[in-house]
Amino acid sequence: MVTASRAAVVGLGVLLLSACGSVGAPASAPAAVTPSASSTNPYGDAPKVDPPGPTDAVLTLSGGTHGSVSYTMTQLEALGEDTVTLDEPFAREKETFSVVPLSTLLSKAGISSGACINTIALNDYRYRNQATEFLGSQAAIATRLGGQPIAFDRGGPIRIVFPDSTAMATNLDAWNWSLSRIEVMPVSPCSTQSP
Amino acid sequence: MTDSSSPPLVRLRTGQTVLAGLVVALLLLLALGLADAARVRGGTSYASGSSESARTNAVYTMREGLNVALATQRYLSGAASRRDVQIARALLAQRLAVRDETGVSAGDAVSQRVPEFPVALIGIDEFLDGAPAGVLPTSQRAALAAQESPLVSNLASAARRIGDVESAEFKAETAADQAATDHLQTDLARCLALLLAVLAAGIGLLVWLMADMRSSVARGREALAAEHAELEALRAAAAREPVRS
Repeated sequence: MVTASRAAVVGLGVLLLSACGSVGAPASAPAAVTPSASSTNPYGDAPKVDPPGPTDAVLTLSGGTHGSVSYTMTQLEALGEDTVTLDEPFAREKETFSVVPLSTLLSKAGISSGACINTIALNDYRYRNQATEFLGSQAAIATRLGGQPIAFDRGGPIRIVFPDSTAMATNLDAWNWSLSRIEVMPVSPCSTQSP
Repeated sequence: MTDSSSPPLVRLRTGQTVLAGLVVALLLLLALGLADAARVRGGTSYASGSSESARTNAVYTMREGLNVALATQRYLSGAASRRDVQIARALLAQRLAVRDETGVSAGDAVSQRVPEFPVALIGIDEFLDGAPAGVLPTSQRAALAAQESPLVSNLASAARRIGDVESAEFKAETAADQAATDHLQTDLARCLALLLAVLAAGIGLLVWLMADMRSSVARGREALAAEHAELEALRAAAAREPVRS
């Protein structure tokens, strides 16, 4: 009887643990319906957007000690390119980007790591945070995807990326695509914002 | 002097057997209650930090859809170039390709929930295909605006509809979550009551069994002492008996 009681207690413990440890099941996915397609995106950008011209600025940094600094794509890529392969969280695929470290750009614009910077996209999406947070996560400006210019319908022509396992890699708000400007914000403290 | 088939130390009484059955029944009820609570808890899924949530995708799809409608309207009024509209359309495409935590793209999700959205988008795409490049010449604005404004209205309405659908779903999910939370709390309270009942019944049964065991041991000792005394008396009697040769 004593053995039976002990078994009952052990069984009860197992039941309690199993109840506490249960995990939610993912929802089922609905069937796909695509409206239109382009060569780079199943949801299309018909007619295709022309890439920026050779003299068109693709990125402007302002508010640093060097004033406003603009880059064409050629100038941006001339700053030196690394390649980084990472888990792109929106496509949920491994992708290889050619990148310019953000630290290089901030340094050339005279923006200190203690500044609060606002990243602004072509569609006016904004995300701001301390520059040190971006730098600590090895933020980089991607100029190519798989060796090719990044199409607008893939977040081009330039976008911010973060290597895997860095702090901001899982902060999707910070992955500002179709980036056009980086501005120093005259605010303190720099609370994150993604309107 | 002793019986070779001695009685067991503890023999369950009828009351103890009933109490043991009650403990087993309570344990079964507790197991069922916990399984139910686990099922309710398992019904809630959480977005992982490394993927966009379906709701975020929907909200941004609405935003980008309205951006395309606005850019098209500005193009028709000569305030924006065709390229501005194309860029807005491309950024919408980028959003529609974003996969949520379940792997479903925003485009697939919106096509399911608001079928008029992709239809309106196709209308805009067809218009853009034939629209003059650059800023629309003044001479064409009035005619083209009269002709194409319904497309813009359709897209804007469809985009707003995404917000309506999401809002309604959010309210329904909030109500369902509240009901599930209430159910879970009831289940857990029931489980707690059952657990206390199991403990009380189990402890009662153990105490009862130990008391019986103790009295059995006491009775055994008394019987042993009596036998021992009887044996000693027999030995003494045997010692007093003269030995005859």
